[in-house]
Amino acid sequence: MLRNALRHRHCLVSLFFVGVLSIILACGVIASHVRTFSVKRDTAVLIGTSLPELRTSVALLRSTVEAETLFARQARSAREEQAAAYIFPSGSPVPRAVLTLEQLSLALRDSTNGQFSLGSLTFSSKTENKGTHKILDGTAVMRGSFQDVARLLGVLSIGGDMMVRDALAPGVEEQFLRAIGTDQPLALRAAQDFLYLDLLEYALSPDLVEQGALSGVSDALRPTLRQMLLQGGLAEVRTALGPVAERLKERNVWPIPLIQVTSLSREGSEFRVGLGLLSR
Amino acid sequence: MTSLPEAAVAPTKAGFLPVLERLGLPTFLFGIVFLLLTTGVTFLLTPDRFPVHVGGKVIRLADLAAEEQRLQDELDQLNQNREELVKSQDNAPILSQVYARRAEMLPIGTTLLSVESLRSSFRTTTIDPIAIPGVTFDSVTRSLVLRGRVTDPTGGSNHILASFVDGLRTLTTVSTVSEPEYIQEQTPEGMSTPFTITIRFADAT
Repeated sequence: MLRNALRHRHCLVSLFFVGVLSIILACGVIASHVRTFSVKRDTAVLIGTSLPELRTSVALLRSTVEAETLFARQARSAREEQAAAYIFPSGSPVPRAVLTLEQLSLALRDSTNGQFSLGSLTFSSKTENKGTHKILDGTAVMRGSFQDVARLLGVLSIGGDMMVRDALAPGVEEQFLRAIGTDQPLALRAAQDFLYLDLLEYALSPDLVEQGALSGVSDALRPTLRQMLLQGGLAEVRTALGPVAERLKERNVWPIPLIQVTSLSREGSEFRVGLGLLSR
Repeated sequence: MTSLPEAAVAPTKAGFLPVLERLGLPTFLFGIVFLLLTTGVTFLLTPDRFPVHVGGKVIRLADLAAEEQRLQDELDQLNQNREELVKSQDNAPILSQVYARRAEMLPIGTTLLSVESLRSSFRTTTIDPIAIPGVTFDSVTRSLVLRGRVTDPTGGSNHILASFVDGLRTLTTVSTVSEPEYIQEQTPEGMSTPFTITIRFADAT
């Protein structure tokens, strides 16, 4: 009887300790659960912050790869042929250069009511071999205002550019696409098409082309993007190529060959421009 | 004086054990139920089950990491595709050479256009204050020298010249712009400041 009572008492004491142990264990489980929640929350914040940017990067890169694939499939061989024939010829670069300078000066003469003229154009008889390319030196003497000569040399500096993206300063294309990708990923395709558009087509009606390219972008972002493009190189295209684009298209003087300006001097209204015609 | 009843004295005599005996069963039951409940809650309410709002989308926490991994994989794949496309540009060797030659050429044309645009921005309906009758460019020294004169009937020719030089320094195609001397001269048109400015182009990158 006494033994049973003692056993009963020991059993109750043991139950007490088992109960206490269970409570401690339960507290441990709660603490562990709270820690897991905290870790997961930190992870979620971290991923949540980077995820929208990652999505934009993927959308941007996807559209870029699509556009480049399309260009590689359809247009690159045609551009290569144009470059070989008109921009960087293997034969004499003189005929194409003379045609270009002549048509440019005629276009400028028309736009300035005869105040601009190309006086003389002379070329060296010897081509200098630079290893990767050849250079033929020449001199152009022209009469006109500083503005007219700046325009003509501005067009020559577009030499070699065929698409809108070629005329943009380094980094502008990526900045432009990133801004559109963040604002409206669906407008990326039109933006890519715009960047791969022929530069002469853009120069013929720049406002219309830009309007079409940015039609899917929000109204708030559109002026910023236009500003970005103009400051990134298209302002020079509008100023220099715009007034002569029509004539260049009519006379099939596009693309502009690679002509580098080696020297320039001015005496009154006469400008003497040293030229270097590049060929393969 | 009456003595205390035996029952009232007993717990004091027995000490701590009777208390444990009395609390044993309730503590055990509470502890077990508490443990079972917390364990159950831990399994049922895992953090992965809860949705989070990311970039306007509601996504389960468990799917968030998977989504990040998927995007990262896609990004790697696209980068790989792009590298292959860049390599395939070797199929257009002349275009590649054109781009290389273009990068070597000094942007004299675009710089002159910018200079002219800046110069004409000072023009008003009555005066065209900046005249640049002397222009010299040499591709060997990578320098463009502008010689001219700023004329302003109101006497602000120095200020106009300083603003013009400041504007030239903002041109992206230019590396350095020399500081001209600010010496005003009296002319029939008003106060005038002659200038010689040397612009240097950055090395080709």
